[in-house]
Amino acid sequence: MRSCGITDERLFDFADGIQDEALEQHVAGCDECQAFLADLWIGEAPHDLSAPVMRIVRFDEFLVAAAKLGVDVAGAMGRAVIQMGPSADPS
Amino acid sequence: MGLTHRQAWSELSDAELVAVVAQDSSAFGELVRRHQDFVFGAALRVVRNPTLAEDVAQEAFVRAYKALPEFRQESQVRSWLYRIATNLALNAVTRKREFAHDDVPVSTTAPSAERSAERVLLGEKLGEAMNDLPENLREPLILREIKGMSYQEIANEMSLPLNTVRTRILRARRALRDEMEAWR
Repeated sequence: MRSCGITDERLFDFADGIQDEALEQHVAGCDECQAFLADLWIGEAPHDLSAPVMRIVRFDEFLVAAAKLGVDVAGAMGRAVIQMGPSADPS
Repeated sequence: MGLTHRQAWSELSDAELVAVVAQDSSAFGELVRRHQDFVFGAALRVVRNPTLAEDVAQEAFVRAYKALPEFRQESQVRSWLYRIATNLALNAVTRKREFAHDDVPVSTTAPSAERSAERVLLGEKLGEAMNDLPENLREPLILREIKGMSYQEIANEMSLPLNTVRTRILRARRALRDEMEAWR
């Protein structure tokens, strides 16, 4: 039992998807309950999400940087596709 | 990104890592690796679909990255990610429901013979799904759901720690739920 009084049993049911709005609100702000769930969910992610996330982050950064420089990104990408062909390897 | 960087980042606290990300965005990858299971688990709990949960988890990290300059250190990174992921997951579920209501006519009550046949098929499918479960998940699930034993009784019966029993039953239910998704 955690100091917040929430039992393991309740958190197991919560993790299993049982709807409990009061607990939902509690968990959102409770480090102890989150730590329990973090242990329970170890190994849950099907694969490493860092690569796809960082690809999106970097592409967004590129767009922002290009926009700051006044680059017509959409136009440049369109021209590249026309010149190289859609299946061309840009590397 | 060099291995030495990753090794150094892995030793930092979340708060320290957030500070590093401000100088080097690559460090955010370490934050993703550190919390991805938790964020994915939080999303899956709400959306109950692994593919959608993965999308939600990715989007949660991207949103977190963009909002990082506004992140206040008095809140834990994990709590902050949890709230982002849960909100996105709830939105995803709402959108899914709206989409289903828009495009799929609500079925009227099926004739009883049809429903009865459906139940038989459902039972068969459930039996197959149970058989497909690994033995270490199937046994505790049967003891819990069919024999009605408590977690503690199952732990005693199988000579396993209580939390192991709970985790296995949780995983077994999820595996069954995924398998039965098509029948919902």
